[in-house]
Amino acid sequence: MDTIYIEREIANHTRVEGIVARFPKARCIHIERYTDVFNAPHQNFRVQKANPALILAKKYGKHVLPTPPDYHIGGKHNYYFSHMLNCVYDCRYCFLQGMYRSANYVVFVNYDEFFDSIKKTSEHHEEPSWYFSGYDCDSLALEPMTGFISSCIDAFETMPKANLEIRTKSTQVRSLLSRPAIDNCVIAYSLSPSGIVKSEEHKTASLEKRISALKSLQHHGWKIGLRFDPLIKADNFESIYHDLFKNVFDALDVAKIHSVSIGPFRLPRPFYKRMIRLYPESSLLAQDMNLRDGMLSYDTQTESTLLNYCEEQLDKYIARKQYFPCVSVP
Amino acid sequence: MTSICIVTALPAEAKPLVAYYRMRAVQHPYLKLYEGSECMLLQCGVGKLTASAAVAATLQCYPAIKAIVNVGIAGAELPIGTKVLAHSVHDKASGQTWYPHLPPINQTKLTKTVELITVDQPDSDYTEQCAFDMEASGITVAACKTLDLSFVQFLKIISDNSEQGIKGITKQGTINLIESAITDVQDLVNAIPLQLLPSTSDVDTIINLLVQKIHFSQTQRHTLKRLLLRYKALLGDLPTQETLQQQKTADLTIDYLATALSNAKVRYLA
Repeated sequence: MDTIYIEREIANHTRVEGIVARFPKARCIHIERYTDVFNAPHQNFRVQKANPALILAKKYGKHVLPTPPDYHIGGKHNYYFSHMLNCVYDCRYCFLQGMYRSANYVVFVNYDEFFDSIKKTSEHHEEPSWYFSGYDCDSLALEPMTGFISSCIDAFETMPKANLEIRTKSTQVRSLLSRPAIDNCVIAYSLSPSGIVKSEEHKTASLEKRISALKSLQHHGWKIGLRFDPLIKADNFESIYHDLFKNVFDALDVAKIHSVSIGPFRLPRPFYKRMIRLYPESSLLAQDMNLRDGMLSYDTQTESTLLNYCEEQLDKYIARKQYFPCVSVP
Repeated sequence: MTSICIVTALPAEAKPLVAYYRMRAVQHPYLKLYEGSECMLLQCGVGKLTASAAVAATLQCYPAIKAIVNVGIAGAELPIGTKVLAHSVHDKASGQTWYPHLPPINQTKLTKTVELITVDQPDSDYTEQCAFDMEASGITVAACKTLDLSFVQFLKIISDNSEQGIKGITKQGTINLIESAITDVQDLVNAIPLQLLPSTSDVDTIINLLVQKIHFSQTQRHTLKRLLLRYKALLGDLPTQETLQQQKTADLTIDYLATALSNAKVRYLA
């Protein structure tokens, strides 16, 4: 990390001091609010992605937000939260490229306020509620630096009515393997065929390493989830997804998998327009897309073909109760 | 045509850079411009309004310019000759602030960064964290009409502080200060990440040639560009000029490309 912007208000926060100490050569720049840098106009996401700065900030306002209607894994009350904005990975299909002007990473250091908010929200419901981490970032990728997930799990241990999903592509699982698993937490991996990982999910761990991390976590007692999302169109779609499912399910104790979901490729139109300007050479973004209800997606027939094929394949491996189609969009 | 334009306010700031980059004066009725093989130089004059107008005019005349590097002297409570990068540019009069995206730390020896405050009149309220100049905010306003803040950088050399005030600045002293920063200027120019910008020049070239033969409306030109970019992304190369000209009309050309794209195959490795 070359450049660290720090909000003046939290400059003396112990977490800020800890994070800054990891980067002794970084330029530290004090700012008033993270939005001054992060939301400023005239930024280039693609260029910043090659050398992103870190912005340490305090989160104000709502720390926990309701998920879109179909974004769930069986729970009735579903929320998401983002201790971080932006992702260390560079997946060509990711909506963050179109949503944010900046590729800099924002880390909110007032973790306890997230946990307080989650606690209050969960107490508001009589039934169990779900909290999804990894919506605007990868939950685990910067864990060695932030320690957020460790703190988060500590907090969820005290909230049995609240369930946590940690969504990730990262294999930084040391902190999870060094503690006992807790019952109200699912570690969910986003998975794609190996060829798509190599071509489109830049800077991510290989499929093999993700499967290996899943095995270790499952063996350690963690509940695991599999997220085949988004489904990417290809002429050899059936073959690559067939291989993906086989490799994943052969490696895991299928009966113990908490949940499996699939999701179609969809992007809000303004995000898509920004993304094709940033990456005109991307073959993934250059494919035929249809505009439906303000969203760019594959045509309905292609989308159905992809979803139907994957559901057929999943039927061979998992029970229906483990399956949650996720057709929600960012 | 070079892609980077160095901007200085004073002739004494320009002189060592013109010499180092072996630049030659460009004939222009109003702008003081120099061109070399690596970069251009604009000597914009003193003050943010003058600087803004000159930078805007230069970018209008030379759309191939993709980055602006402002090099000049500034005041701060730092030793004379200290070289600093601006991590922010603040216009004192308007209160507006911009944050240039700084280059990787391993590509420049400039470790000291400051808030660069653009003032309308020379200021001597020196501090270590801020430097004063009279052009940066004007340059930023103009540059940001066409460029992103990864491509607008400010390198300042401290010329005055509380011990040696602004009256101590001389022409030769300024030349010496800029000469002392030449390596840093070169490093900064080299660190500008032009290679990360997507290139669509081949598509633009093919469109410019095609529209000389076939009439395209503005909407059709826009469609044509998107189709050609998709064509290249999916099929690996662009269609030849001859193939496109054979289509005779704009509609037929667009149909031809759309059909080719609908048949394009995308495969991923197993």
